[in-house]
Amino acid sequence: MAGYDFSDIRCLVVDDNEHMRRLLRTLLGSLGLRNVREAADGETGFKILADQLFDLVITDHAMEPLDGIEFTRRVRNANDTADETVPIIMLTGHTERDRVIRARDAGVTEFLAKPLTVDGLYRRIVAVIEKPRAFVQCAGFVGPDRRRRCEHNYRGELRRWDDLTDADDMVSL
Amino acid sequence: MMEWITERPPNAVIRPPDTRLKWKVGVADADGHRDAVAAGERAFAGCADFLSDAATGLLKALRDAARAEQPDAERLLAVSHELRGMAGVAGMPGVGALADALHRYLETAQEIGEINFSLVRLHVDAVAALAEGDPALPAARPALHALGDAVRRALARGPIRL
Repeated sequence: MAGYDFSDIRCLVVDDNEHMRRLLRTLLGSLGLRNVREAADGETGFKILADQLFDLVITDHAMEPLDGIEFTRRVRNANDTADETVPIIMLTGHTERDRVIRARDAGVTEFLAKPLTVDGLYRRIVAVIEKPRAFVQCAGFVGPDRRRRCEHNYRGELRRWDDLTDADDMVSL
Repeated sequence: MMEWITERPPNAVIRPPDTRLKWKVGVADADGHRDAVAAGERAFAGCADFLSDAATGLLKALRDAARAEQPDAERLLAVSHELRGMAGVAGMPGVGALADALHRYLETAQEIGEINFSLVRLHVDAVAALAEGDPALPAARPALHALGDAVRRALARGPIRL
C-alpha cells in the first residue's frame, strides 16, 4: 500500500469565501499537504505568485475584483509570474459550456464543479500529477495543451510535442 | 525550468509535460488513493458544524437583503452565489438548488433591468423554509413555479409580467 507524499507540495488557494478556504485547507491538510497559502482574491493571489513558487493553485471562479478566469489569464501571460506554467485547478459553480470554454482558453488546467467533494478534489489533483500536459505559448493562447482526446484518424499538421516524439503511435487532438 | 523543445514562428512555443510534481510526490497505488480519499472524507465530516453555521449565516444575510426597504441587487446576487456554493457542501443540496435558481434569475433580470423584488422575497422565504424543514414548504411552491416562469421569460428576453 502506497500513497502520495504531499508533504513538500506548495499549494495556493485563492477564494473570496473564507469558509471555502478553511474547508479546502482542512481537506488538503488531511491529504498531507503541509504548505498551503491562502489569498482572499485574485489580485492578492497574483501578487503572491509573483514572489513565490507553487506546485499547485486552486482558485475559485467568481471573485471580485479579479475573477478566476482573469486571474488565470494574468498568471499565464504576465512577465512577472514566478512560474506561468503552474497547474491551476478551478472550482466553479458555473458549468455552462461557454464559461468552461472561456476558462479553458484562459489557461485553466483542471475544473472542479461545485459542490466540492473530496473525491472530486482528489481526482483533479491526481490528474495534475499523473497526466501533465504540454504547455503551449502562441498568439492568442498560453496554457496547458487544450487537446485531451486522441484522434487516430487525424490528418492535419502535427504541431504538438507528443506529435513530434510519438507521431507514429498517436496523434492527440 | 525546462527548456523549450521546439519553436515555431511567429510565436508558438511548446514545452513538454512537466513531471516535476510527479517526482515530488512519488507513486500511489489503489489502496493509497482509497486511504487518501477516506482521510479527506473524515476531515470533511469534521467540518460539518462550521459549514452548517456558514450556510445558516448566509441564509440570514439573504433574507435580510431581500427584506430591505431598498433591496440591493448586487448584494442579493453575491449572497445567493455564496449560498449556492456553501449549501451543497453543507449537506443542503435543495437549498443550493433554490439559491442557484435565484442567482440565475437575478443575473438575467438584472441584465434586462427589471427585477421583481416581491418575487425574490417569496423565493428567499421558500429557500429558508426548505433549510428549516418548514412543513409549510408546499405553500411556497406557487412562488417557485412563478419564479421558474419568470426565468424562462427572462431568458427568452421577453417582458416579465408577474
